[in-house]
Amino acid sequence: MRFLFSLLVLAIPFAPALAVACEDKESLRLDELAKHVAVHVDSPAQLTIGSNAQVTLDWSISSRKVPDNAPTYFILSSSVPVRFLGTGFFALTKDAAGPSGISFGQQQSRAIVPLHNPTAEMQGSIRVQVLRAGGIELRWGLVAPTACGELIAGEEKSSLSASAVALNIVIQNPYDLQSPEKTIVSNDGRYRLHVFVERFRVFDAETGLLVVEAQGRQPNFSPTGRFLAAYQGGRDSRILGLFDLEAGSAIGTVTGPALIWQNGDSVVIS
Amino acid sequence: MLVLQPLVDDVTAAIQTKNQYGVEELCTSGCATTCHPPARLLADNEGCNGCGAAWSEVTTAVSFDSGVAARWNRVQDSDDWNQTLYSLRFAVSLPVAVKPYDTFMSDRTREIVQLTIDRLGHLAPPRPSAVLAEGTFARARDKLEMVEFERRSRHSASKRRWTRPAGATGAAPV
Repeated sequence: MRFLFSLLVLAIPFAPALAVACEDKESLRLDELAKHVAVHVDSPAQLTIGSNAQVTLDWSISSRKVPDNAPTYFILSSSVPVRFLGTGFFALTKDAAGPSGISFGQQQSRAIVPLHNPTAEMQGSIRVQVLRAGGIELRWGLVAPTACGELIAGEEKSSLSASAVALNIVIQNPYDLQSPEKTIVSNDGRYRLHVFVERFRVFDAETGLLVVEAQGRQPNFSPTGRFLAAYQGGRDSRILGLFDLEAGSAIGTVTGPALIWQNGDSVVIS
Repeated sequence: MLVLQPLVDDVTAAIQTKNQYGVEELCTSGCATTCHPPARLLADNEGCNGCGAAWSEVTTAVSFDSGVAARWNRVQDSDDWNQTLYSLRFAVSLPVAVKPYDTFMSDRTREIVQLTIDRLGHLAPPRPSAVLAEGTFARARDKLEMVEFERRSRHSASKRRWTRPAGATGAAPV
């Protein structure tokens, strides 16, 4: 009985001590790292949608490399859909599952630097191509998954405003004399795809605005509807053209016929 | 097989140079060791259909926790798989002492030492059981090939039915 009592007495202070230690150790490590983070956001005086609508985020951490076994991420998220430019990071689309179950910015487009990756640099530059006029909020921080939960340190944000280019008058005939062979609606209901023999048109389902018109065979949306792929070239061609419907433009080609979209269309394997 | 990031643009100007045979590189889908692939590729392969490589089976996986992607191709007539690693949208290669020409490696290939490659290996995703492509050209069958494949399957099945020896028991193969 005395032995049992002793065990109980010993156990009571231990449990909270362990929990505190767990949180403290990781928090201290992350806070220490955050002290050495320097971020500079460079934006043109007038951010206008089009060629110069690019914001550059230069970041550096003047610290030793993060060990491989301590997952730590520098994450930049954007409140509106964007395209990222640069190397040394990977990107995730809105709603794609975050690394190591991290939810930081999960409802937004993200650029992610896994600092514990042995090939990751401790400094870099991430350029952000803004696609829509209006307000944009960039948020960044150091994030680490721990046994105590998701820890965030050095979180900061920058608010910017992008203006539209000079107004364009678009003459668009919504009543095409040629009826499409097939009409496909994206999974999110946002876009309507008209498929013709050797070409296709994508419309905004709500406004009826033409988003993309291009040559291509057997076009179809990616699972989230953000991207579209269509065969290009001759009948036997296996080249698939990829289009980003947020940007309303072609973004590249891949070799089919296999096309596998992963993690909310963040990655495509062909 | 190519893996790319549809959300990232990092296109650099195409480099058009002649290789050691005096032939201008025209590879657009990419062979990392022989020409510059489109720069937006997450990583590129060191052998592809255009280069005449043939793999029996191919599979790939991406770790979003570490930014490491891996591709495996089965060693011919073996249960072994060759693994190729990619990290943060770069192909990974051991340092090559002598490069016969300027574009010997793509600008998306990083030369790193074996120790770092080993560390990447620990962060790499496990090999999935599903094979993404199989066959001489290491790719999935397309629709036309599937029609042809099914037609041949039906044909051989019907042949089997007709050639069933007289007096044999059991249901005919379907």
